[in-house]
Amino acid sequence: MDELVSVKNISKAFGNELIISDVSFTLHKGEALGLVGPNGAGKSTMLRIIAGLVKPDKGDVRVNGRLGYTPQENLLLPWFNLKENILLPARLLKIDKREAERMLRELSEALGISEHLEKKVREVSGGTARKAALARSLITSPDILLLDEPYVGLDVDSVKSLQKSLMNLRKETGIGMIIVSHQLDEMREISDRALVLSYRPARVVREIKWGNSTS
Amino acid sequence: MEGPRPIFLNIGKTLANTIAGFLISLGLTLIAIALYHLNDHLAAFVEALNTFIQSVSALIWTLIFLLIFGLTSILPPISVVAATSFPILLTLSLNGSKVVLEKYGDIAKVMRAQKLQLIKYFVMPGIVPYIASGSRAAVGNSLRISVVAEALGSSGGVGYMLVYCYNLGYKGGVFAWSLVLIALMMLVDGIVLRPLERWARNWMS
Repeated sequence: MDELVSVKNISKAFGNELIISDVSFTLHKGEALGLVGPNGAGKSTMLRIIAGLVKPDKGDVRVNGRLGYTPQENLLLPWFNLKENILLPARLLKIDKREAERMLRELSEALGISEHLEKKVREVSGGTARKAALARSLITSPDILLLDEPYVGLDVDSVKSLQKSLMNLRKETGIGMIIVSHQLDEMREISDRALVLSYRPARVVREIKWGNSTS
Repeated sequence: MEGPRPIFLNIGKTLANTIAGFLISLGLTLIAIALYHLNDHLAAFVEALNTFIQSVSALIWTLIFLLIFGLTSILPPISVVAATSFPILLTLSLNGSKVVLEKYGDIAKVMRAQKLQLIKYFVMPGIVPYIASGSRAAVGNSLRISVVAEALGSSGGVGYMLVYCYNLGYKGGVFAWSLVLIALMMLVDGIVLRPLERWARNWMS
């Protein structure tokens, strides 16, 4: 299988505190990998290292393909409506406007947010905002999607709806996903396997295979 | 008391000086913010410029602009207002832009935003509430300062009328024009600046 992300012996310290210690894993094409651990374990830092936002102190990260990243806080821009937020990465990368509009229609229909596109961020629910942030990550057709705590702050219905959207997305696009969560249960539905990380420093203490592979 | 100009003309002149000076300082602030985020050298220049302009008193600006433009020119009050409002707006907007980038900088980086795109789509819209808050402080300051500049060298405006009444020894006129200035500041604050600030708060929520 093709390797989309290769993380080798990553370590990261903030000040004197070692946050991540010698973590290695790979993400293959079409695979969904869960990173599970307690809050503050360094899972988000791991995602930020893969996204190129934080440099590791030791180790090597290789990313083969375009990245989409959905941070825990969504970080939708409040001065834009949902449509403008979703289209922003395409606009920044100067992707053809008609192609971007087509992707927007497809994604918003798939995620069930079509009727909210003209609304501002403050006018929609947490679940809709999360889906809009997800659509924004997907508008440039990335090969790899990094999802940081996708279900945090959502009600049960929104979690189910988002899970369904993510599973459909995998089936339809074969996108590789790395999903960070503090709840092992959340990983069961959506990932093929999960790496359980220890609390500070984060080390891989266990690997669980669910066998949800769509490939 | 009959002044050389009707009351509304003098109020209008002070307001015009204030608005013109404020708009110039707003334009300069936006340019300075854009330069600040273009590269580190320009950022250092903008920081140094801000510190320098902040350390010059309104009186010194007034005297400098009177020497440059002359006593009867309309430019000294406008220039003084611009020079004294600029650091207020710039300081608040710079801090605002840093807060905005602290929050959205990473997502902009993941989206591979270029410098100009970062300024256009993230920094400039993000500093709107800070500019609105800064405007309240800057316009209040501008009204006070424009009066000083008008008093020293102008042929009209509230500041001119205050000194005119003072020179005639007309206490009632001094108090009346002082009250006019206070009322004007409260009116501008209540009708324009507070609603603007409320609107800007919604912009970010």
